[in-house]
Amino acid sequence: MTTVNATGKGGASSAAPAFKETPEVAKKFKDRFDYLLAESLGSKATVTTTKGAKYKGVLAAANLEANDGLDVVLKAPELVVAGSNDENAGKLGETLLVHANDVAQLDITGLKIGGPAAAPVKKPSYAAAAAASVPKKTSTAAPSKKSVPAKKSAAAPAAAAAATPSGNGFRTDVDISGGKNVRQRELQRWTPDEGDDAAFDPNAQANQGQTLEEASSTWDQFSVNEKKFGIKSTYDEHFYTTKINKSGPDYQQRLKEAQRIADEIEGQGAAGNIHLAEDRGITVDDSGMDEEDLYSGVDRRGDELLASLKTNAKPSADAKGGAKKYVPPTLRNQPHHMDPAIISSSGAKNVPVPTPAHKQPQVPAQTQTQAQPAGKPRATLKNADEETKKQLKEIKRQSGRGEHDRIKAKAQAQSGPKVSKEEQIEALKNFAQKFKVPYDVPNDMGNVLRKTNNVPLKDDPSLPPKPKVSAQSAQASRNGSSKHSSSGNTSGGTHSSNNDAKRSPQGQQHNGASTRGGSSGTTHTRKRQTGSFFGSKKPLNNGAKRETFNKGFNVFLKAKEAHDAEDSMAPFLIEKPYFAAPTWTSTVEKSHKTLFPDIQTVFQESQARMQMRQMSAMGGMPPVNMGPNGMPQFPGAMMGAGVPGGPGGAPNSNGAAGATSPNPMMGGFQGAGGYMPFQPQPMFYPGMNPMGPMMGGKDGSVGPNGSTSPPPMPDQMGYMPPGAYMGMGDPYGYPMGGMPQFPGAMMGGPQGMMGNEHGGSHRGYQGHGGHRGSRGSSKNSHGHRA
Amino acid sequence: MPVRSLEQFLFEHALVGSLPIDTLRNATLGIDAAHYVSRLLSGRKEQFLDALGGCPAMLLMYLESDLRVFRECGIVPVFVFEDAENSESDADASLAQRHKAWNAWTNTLSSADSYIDQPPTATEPFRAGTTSPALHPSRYMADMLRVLARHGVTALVAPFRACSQLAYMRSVNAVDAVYGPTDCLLLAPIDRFIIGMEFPNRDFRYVDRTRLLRELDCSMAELVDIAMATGNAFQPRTLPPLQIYPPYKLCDVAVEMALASGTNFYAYQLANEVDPVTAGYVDAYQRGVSALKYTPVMLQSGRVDVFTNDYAAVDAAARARHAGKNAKGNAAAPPVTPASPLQIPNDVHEFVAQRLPNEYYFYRAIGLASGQLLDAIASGVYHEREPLDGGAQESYRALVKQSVQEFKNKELNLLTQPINRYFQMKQVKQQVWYAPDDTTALLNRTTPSIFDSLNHLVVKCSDDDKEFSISEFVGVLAAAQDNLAQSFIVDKVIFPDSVPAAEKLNNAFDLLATGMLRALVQLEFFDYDFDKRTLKPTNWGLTLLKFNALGISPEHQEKMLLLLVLLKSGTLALSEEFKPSVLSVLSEHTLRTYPQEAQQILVLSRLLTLFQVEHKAHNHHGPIDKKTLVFREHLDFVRANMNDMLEAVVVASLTTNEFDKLKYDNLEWQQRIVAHMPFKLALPSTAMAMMWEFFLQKYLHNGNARDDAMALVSSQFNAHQTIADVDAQFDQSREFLQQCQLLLRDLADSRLVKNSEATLCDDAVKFATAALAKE
Repeated sequence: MTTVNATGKGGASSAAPAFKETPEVAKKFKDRFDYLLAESLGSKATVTTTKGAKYKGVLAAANLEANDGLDVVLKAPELVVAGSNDENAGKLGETLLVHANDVAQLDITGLKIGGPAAAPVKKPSYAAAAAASVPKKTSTAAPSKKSVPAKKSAAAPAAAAAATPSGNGFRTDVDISGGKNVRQRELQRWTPDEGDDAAFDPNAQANQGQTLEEASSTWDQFSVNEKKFGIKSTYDEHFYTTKINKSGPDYQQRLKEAQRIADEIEGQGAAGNIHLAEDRGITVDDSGMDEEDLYSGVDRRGDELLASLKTNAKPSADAKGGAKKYVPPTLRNQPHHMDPAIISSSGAKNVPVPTPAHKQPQVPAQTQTQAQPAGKPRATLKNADEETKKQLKEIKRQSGRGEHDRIKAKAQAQSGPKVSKEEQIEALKNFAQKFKVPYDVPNDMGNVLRKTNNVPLKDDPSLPPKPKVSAQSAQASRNGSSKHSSSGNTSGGTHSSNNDAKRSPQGQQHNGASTRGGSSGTTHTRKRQTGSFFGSKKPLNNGAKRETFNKGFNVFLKAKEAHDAEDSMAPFLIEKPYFAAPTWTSTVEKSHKTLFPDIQTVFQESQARMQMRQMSAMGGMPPVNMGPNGMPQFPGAMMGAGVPGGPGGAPNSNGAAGATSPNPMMGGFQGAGGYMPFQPQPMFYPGMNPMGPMMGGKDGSVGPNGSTSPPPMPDQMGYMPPGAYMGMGDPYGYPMGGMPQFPGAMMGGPQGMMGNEHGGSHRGYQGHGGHRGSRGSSKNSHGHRA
Repeated sequence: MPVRSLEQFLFEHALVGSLPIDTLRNATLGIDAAHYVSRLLSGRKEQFLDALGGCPAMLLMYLESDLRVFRECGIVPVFVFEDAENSESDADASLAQRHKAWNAWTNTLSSADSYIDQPPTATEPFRAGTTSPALHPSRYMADMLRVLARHGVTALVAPFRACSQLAYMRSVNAVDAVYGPTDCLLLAPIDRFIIGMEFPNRDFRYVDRTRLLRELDCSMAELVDIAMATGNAFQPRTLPPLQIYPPYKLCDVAVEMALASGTNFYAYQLANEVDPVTAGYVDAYQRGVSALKYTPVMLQSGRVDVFTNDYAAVDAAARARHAGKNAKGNAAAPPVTPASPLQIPNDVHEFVAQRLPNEYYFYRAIGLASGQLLDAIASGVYHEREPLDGGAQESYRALVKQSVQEFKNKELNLLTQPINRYFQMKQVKQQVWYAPDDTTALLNRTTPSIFDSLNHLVVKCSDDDKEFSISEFVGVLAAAQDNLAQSFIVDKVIFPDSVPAAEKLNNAFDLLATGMLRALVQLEFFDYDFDKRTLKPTNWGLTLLKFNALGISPEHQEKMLLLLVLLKSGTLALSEEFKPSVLSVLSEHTLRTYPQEAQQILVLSRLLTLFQVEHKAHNHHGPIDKKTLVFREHLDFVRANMNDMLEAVVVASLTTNEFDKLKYDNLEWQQRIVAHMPFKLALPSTAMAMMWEFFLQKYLHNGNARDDAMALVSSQFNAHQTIADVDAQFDQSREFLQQCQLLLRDLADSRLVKNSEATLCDDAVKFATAALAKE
């Protein structure tokens, strides 16, 4: 039994305020309700009015649009229970219309809807008002009675629709389309009409599946057009394409060549590009990939930052084999495909340029360059930059020239319309060959000019392709213009052979170039020529290694092996695990902490290194690889300040270093500090300043080792700077004249140092402002950072 | 963990070369598995992995295809794993990101008040960092090891650092090339290494150290100094003054500081050694450098010993070369004098870990024993890591507490008994993530020792090729159910050398079945008393023995056993709400309108966390369900402990020579024993549970329309692409649920769970079956 409670304003609308529902959901519920009512038309129904009367009858119609509930029409009504003051009593006709505001409850019995499932299934409830429990049975035919809405309420909103709280909220696609029942039309096969052209006649077997070009029947749109509309076409296919000279003497050869190139392109592999593979008809296992992976997303497997390198860096496997590498025609006459010098530079150049900018946009370009050490690498970069620029210029010039030629040609063509095109081109060619620049050609122009001369006009990509067809083939396929093709034939024949001759050296050159470009590209450096990862010793067959891993790294098997090798009589016993001590074998009875250089050595070393770095930064000094103990490398530098017998600064001789770190050593150290101020760099680095206090502080610990405490700072300042500077100047080949350049700095530095020293606290050095300042200033002092 | 931001630095400065993979033909390639994984799971891949749990399915898919490429190229890969503590890169960052993502999700969910049956979608990724995705090795190691073993590919778990192990292998030419993280730069024997492989393009990226040093104008010592300051595998913290810079620029800044202005970071730490915090930095620096120099590795002999990495020698060699070049005039360049070998200090245990027997390292190397327990013995701390959901629930914490008694004390006893007495005395603590200072002491001393009390239990079968599984094991026990004592108690222990080989454990099945029985005795599935010669199943054991009789399919029995152990722990009933409660992914409307059904869905989703949906890849972007994940983590905790327990029992059995350890080579160990050990693989993700939840919810709201609900699931989970046959998966999981139903009914009959639970489960399965039935 279905009970629809339509009291007052109707169940749905009465529940509205409490029922927060999107319009779509509400609509669905309304639809269900409608459906339910539609199904129940023709069922027996009992209507209870608000006055208490009950009418039984067959539900004939119901007006869903009623704005305050549900108007109900009953057929063959009978009164079951009389209401309080029912005016209908006794005068029931064939139909009974109960207005919506009179309907209190509508009970429907014997409703049969749904599928064959026997068990009662709970239906979702619609808030609490419209709960319905429907026994499922085989569905009856929907009643086809004329159901007339008893009362037309104009433009009354549906009850359920009125229930929606907010109709204007954000809706997703799913929200919008979610409720819709997508209906698909049945697709119908297209069949041609009677009058359709014969070419499409399905009965004409021969033509089926043919494209326009290969259609053997004579569909000629021009003649049809002319016949039908009287329009004469001036169309010549050769304006747009190159006719293949199938009867040419070298046709077979060219066909082979074309096939080879095609194979090469297709044989390059899809290179992981699934889309490309798909285009080529290669079946790809795209399971587990979504559309983004397939067609849109950047392939980040391996998270390569230099994805763009791929193309440049990929060495060609074919190059060794001597086969020619295919180069797209538009690139063929670009200079860098021919000029070995440019090739090598472009091969190397291609590498660093695109990466930082493209791949790591979040890193400001500034830091990238800043991190570059001074000196050599930067210089090479600069060179490379210049080379690129040069190269670009050349390309520009050339294309500019091509443009120029074209415009000229056009102008000529327009001025002399009577002259045939071939003649024009011929004339242009002659002009180009004979043309001499009437003034002194700059040296670097020679290169360019030679190239333009060599490159046949036809190969200039900016010019339209030139038709060269044999007369026969032209006649065979063409409906006119034999005059054109025959005249083209003479010139085209010579031209093409010319072209071939030109091309082959070009190809060879490119071939050689690609080898070189490949090697330099893969190693990403011009210096290294190692073509392989392993250098000279290639890994050999690894059958033995397999054994290494299966039988080796196995304490039992190896022990047994060793035991067997010993050939002892004792039975083999696996070592008991409790023999292993919880400590590791050691070669020296010291803690690892003692293996670190002591604090003085560290500071000395780092001072030395700081000097080196700054000097190299300033003077472009050749790089020196400094060991963990930079000292031994600079006996002259550090000790040259007049310290006799450089003390052992080696990190491992700690005890000794402590014992021998005497006064002169400190002197050298301070001397180092003395010239530091050349670099107008704030002392963010702690090793510098705390020298005095530190030495003092550590005095107690050093003392027992027999070292003397350092002399007071001012003394050192007094004598050190000049001596240190002069002493160091020599070994590094510093020009003496350079010295006066920094007097101010020299003077200023120590003072700053002193000030800091008086500040006393080491904490001060953690101020990062200082560091930033240093970066800024080092930038200035280096000068080569834009 | 690689050197922070160095990889990016290398790429930015074009210090990375590229060659085709064919170059590596015939090479044996040592692969740092963690690095390999980080390359595969980079960026946007599997961002919701931590919200779903489980092993990344994509990883295994890629692994298979990469192995194919290796085969085609004639490359022999050797995977080296690292399972030691702190081997998760940037654990803090990943935790922070996870918390952030959970907060975002909770907000999304609680503000979605108009949500009825279209679940809201999570937006915040759960994995931190696009550069080095953090994933603890335990998440993928067992799964990967199993795949590798199946393919017969060599895989090895390093005793400490994988890159040190690779450096050793390179130094003895066991491998020809190394594919690893930037840490490899710091290891002297690796002069160049592969940093990335692009399998689709068939080329690889490599870094040449000589070139790097030359182009940067940098010495090896300086490089190490920089790496120690930025943080690397040996010293994971970022030290001052670099801490204030964004992580991705660390190397830029450090290189600038070191090379342009000559900063020495060690000197910096020393100069600032003023309070305990900053003094800690000096210590960290020193430990890092020492660990880099003296990390123990497994030698070819199978012994584990300190491998010295004399990186300073690289500089010496470079200087010698330099000198040789300068002295071109001289006919003979000065020969490169081999530096005297590095001295090994006597306190390597201070900065690495205490030494365990070689045998234990071997078990770890083949994947038989997982790292955590062994690390706990060596380091004295058993870390309980935070579960994926944050582990705020009382039941989870109760489980963690309980595990001390139920599992860890016993395991420690089993593992320390056979080894040096030092470890038997050593105090080991359990440290939990939510209260790191409040540690629990683990007791590893019991008399008699656990092994002594168990070693008369032996399960043997004559079939050498029989593969171990819970189902087979149950079958063997159930067949002898009437006289378990006679069948499985031996009068004489079998470990002494005097026992003839035939009486020992002869094959993998014997070993694992014996181990399993002993483990179950400890978990009180069986009552065992050697003096009285009794071995009887408890009520829980009786249910276990009925597994086959109940028709529980073999592939599900391992999971069902986990469920039994969880229920047995009494910390959480199947339908019990969490405390504090977790927001359900079901909509408010569902919970309010269909309270009964919602309860049923809860039970179903919990059971389904044990069902592995067969998907090819699961790059899931959509709704997630924390509540289900919390339950999954409960189960996963049980699984990890069961795994530890079984491992401890088996290792104890092996160390006492109950089994012929010379029988198998490494691959056979892995294929025959390790690959059949239960509880090793990560539990399934919550994917299937969620699919069911949303299916049923939609079904409820959508007028019981099954197809609509199925369509919703398909679109939310991209199921048409990732799952071969969604319907079949639903059918299989329904069967699984029915088996769960039988199990629960049986448990209720034995009064092990409340009857209401079983009834609820009955109703739930009925509901699910009805919903799935085609109309």
